[in-house]
Amino acid sequence: MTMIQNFIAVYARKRWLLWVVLGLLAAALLVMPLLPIPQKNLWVRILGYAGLYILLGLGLLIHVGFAGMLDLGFAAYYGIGAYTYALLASRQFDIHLPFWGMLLVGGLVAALAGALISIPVLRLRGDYLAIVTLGFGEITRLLLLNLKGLTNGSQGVIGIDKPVLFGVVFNTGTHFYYLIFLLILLFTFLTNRLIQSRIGRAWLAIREDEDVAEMSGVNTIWYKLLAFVLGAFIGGLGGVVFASWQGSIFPDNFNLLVSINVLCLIILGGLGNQYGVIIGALALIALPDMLRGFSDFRMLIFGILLVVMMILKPNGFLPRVPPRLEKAADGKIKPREDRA
Amino acid sequence: MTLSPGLHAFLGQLINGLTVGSFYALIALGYTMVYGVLSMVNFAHGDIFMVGAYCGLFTIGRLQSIGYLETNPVLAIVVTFMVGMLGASLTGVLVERLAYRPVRRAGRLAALISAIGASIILQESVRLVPTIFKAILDIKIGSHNLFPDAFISGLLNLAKDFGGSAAKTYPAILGTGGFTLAGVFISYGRVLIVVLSLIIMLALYLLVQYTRIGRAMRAVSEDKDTASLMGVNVNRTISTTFFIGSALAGIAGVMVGLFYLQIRVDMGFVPGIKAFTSAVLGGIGNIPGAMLGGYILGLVEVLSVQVLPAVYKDVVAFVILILTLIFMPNGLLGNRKFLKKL
Amino acid sequence: MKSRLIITLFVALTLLVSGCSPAATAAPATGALPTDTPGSTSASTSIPADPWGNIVIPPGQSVKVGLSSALAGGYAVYGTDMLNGVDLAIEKFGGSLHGWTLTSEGQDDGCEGAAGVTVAEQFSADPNILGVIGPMCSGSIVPAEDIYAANHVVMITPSGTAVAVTAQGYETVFRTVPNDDLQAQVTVDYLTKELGLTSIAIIDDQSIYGEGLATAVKQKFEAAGGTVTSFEGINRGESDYSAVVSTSMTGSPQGVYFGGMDAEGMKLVVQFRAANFSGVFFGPDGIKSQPSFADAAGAAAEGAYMTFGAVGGAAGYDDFLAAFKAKFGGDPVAYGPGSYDATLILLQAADRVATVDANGNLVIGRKALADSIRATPFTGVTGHLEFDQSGDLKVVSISVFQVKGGIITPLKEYNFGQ
Repeated sequence: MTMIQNFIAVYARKRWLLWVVLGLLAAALLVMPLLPIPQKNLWVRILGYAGLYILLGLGLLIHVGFAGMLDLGFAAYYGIGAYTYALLASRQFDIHLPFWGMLLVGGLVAALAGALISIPVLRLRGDYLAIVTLGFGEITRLLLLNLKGLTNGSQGVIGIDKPVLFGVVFNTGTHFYYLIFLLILLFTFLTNRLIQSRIGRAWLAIREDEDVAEMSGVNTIWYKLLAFVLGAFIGGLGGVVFASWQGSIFPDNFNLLVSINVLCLIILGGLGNQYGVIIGALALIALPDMLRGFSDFRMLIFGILLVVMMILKPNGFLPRVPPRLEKAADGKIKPREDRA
Repeated sequence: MTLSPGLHAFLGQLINGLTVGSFYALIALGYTMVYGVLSMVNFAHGDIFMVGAYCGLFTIGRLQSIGYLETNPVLAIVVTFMVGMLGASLTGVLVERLAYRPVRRAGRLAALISAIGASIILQESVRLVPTIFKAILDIKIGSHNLFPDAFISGLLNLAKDFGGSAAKTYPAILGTGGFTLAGVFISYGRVLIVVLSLIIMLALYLLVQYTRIGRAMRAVSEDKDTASLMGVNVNRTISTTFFIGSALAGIAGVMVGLFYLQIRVDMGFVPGIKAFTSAVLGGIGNIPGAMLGGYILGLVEVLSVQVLPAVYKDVVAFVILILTLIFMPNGLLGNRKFLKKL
Repeated sequence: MKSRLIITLFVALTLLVSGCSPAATAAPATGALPTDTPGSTSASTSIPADPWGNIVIPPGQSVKVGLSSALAGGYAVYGTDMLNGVDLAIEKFGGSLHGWTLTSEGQDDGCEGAAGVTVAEQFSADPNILGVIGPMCSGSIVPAEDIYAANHVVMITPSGTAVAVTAQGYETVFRTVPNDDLQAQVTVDYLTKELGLTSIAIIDDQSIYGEGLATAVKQKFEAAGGTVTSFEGINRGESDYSAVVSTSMTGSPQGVYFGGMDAEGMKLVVQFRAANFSGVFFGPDGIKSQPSFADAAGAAAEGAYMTFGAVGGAAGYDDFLAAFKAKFGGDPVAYGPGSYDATLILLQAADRVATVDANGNLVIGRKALADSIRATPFTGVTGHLEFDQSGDLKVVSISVFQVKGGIITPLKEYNFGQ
């Protein structure tokens, strides 16, 4: 318990430091593609790709961090979103629906899948939920691989349309970099509002103790379903961006390792908030690319770093601050963060 | 005696399913035992299985090169199993000591990431054994090698015999012999695998149920703190659990090598996922459950190939798993502990 | 304490970042693509303007050949083999280009799309990269070739056989292997005409490569009047395929075709023979590996057939093999010889078009390089290689091999084109 209290103490005092660091980081990332730096396209690519994982992390954070449901099948929503766009905006069926509408549609289709998946499994907890979501993730990949008439199987969908905005075709990494940057800002803001709302407090109650939450009158099934749907929506949206950026997608792009990577990055981030996800993704997704100089030993070093990071910072970079519920002046009970 | 073709094929698949199920069950036991004492998913378990296969291969290769495999094959195979088991066991204990014990109090998610890291480390280490040895042996003092040349080339050859990127092959010594039962061909290799697995699992069950160390393991899995107060050495019990669970994976690794011949550094991933699924199917933390889950999964897989296109094999396996958990949320045999929250 | 750790991490990352930009000194300060636009070569009027810009290497720097392949993880064995091929070719070429030192740079793409794109961006951003060998897998090539084409970086793959690879119409993409369609055609021709088979079972490994081939074989075999008794897929990385073996044998096929790689092919042939299957076992170039198919499967592989998109017995192959063995202490695994030829094609073309400008820089026109590769026939250790407009081989020779006495032996050669 004292350890947790120490964390509260540290971060209560130093929240401003966090904001300064994050603000500087965001500003630096915003102007980076405009600056004359060597190998800039590579950095745009690496950071943009890490950004895509931040987006996925924000989605999975709702499942794991907010509602406390260990989900090992997040790649399913990512894949469903990607294939929704790829099939409706590519040479595959020669259908070319516009990207911006499809961004929403891809998210919604994935959200629907999230709802369908969650209904039978909402009563499961802990590792049982984990293995069932893992199963759904694999089933999704296998269906993408084998419904050949629809998805073209292992041969993938190629020639996927690029987004067009005011006549500008998104054909460079920089375009996608900024698109992803904006989406991250948007969803960081939205999830922030969400977590401070009544829904966020219900999730918090479920995460802390599901039985107590249920007995206190929280409709746990409904709120867990909502978490599934919202997280899946963001995952699907990320899939649409991925499909349009890469221009060709294959079922193997959505395998178990993707789910594990996204889970790793939000755990590294600390499961506490969206900013942890950002730091986790930069560390986890960009790191292997930064380690390219070590060639042969790249993945070995990465594995060692994972273990060492967990030993040094077992709760991630920005651990969640445990709720301290207090009576506010108006007599309502609010989480402490509301007033920070 | 003649059988209808359908029944004939069905019986053939039954034997196949039992073989596959034996491997799943042996590996699943490691998952379930570790889960029992630590409530964590040992993601590196599939790679410990791989290390067992590589240790076994190294041993049988040495024995073959000195001619011992030809003169005394039975003893050579026994030695191979022993070394495979021991290699896997020591690896398991080491992984627990270095990667899991430091994060034991930090919650299950930290342990999960640490386990994923350990999994990468094990795979890449076995792959890079020759590279790492070469880097160390090439150390020079001035213009002279630190180590004598003969020593370098000898050790480097040993390292190449142990690991590396390329797939490695066990000598084919089991042969393809077999017998025909009711018109179905059954190879001796498959019989050996199933019988040996069942004997080992029975031994494990007896160990856990009736010995002092088994009691200690069960006590730790119920409540670490209380067990510790009762005089159980918790750390040693956890190490022992890893030792035994990894030994089973090592045996499975050597059996895969002897029977399927080819081993690779990434061979642990797919069986690892399947065995984890088996453990959950049977009720994770439950030892007979892991055995049952392994055999059921193996049989479901091969029988689904019999009726559906083979590509849907894993879909069927996961659907069965999901249905089981929906109607029996704690697995087939149930886990005795209430699940802790995230 | 905690924030100090974060700061430490940032510092560490910054160090990594700076450590990983070896080209920082060489890159032009504009930060744009390091390729020079036609206007910026004004330093010397004798250098012809290239519509795609020039590769400009200052004196004292090295010229790099990039390799994009799997260099870590399960497929690393193939990537390492390719890197060995590249290194041997550089050595054979003399180690330098017009006096500039040649080096290789291997980057791990894990045989995967997203990493393939990242590697493509990395090579495209590196001003010292002459061209790229690879990527190895069609799944990485298809997304990565967009990037290479946009940056006018030449890529020659010695292994990407999917039809889609050269279907995008890029002028920067070449491959030294025939596409799957031709390989399937040879397979079916041999199965039906030479072996007289009328029924086969087909199994693939559900990869872009294996399934593409298997599907093509199925269509062509049925078009030739044969019967495909079953068409099944397996998962890579499993050990026991006996269930699929049993179902494939229920239709009593005369032969089995497997579309996939040696790892699974070897287990399948062993398990088919263990199940007393006595028919033909036939596979693609992915299983033509002496150590990991023929040696590994032992007696079970005896008599198995396979196609390979080049003539192993081409002139100079034996010398190549001896040099490869001497340098790396073992035989090539699969794509080593192809990478060797691809690298020599790149280097010889660069040699033809390279000039030195007034400032003593080595200048290579990007379009001139691609055009020279396309225009000049090459005879290497994998045979005669000449590219058509799309980057495919003009003349293709595919041979059918068989394991005889444990050794993979050529049986018949098929020639296409011209």
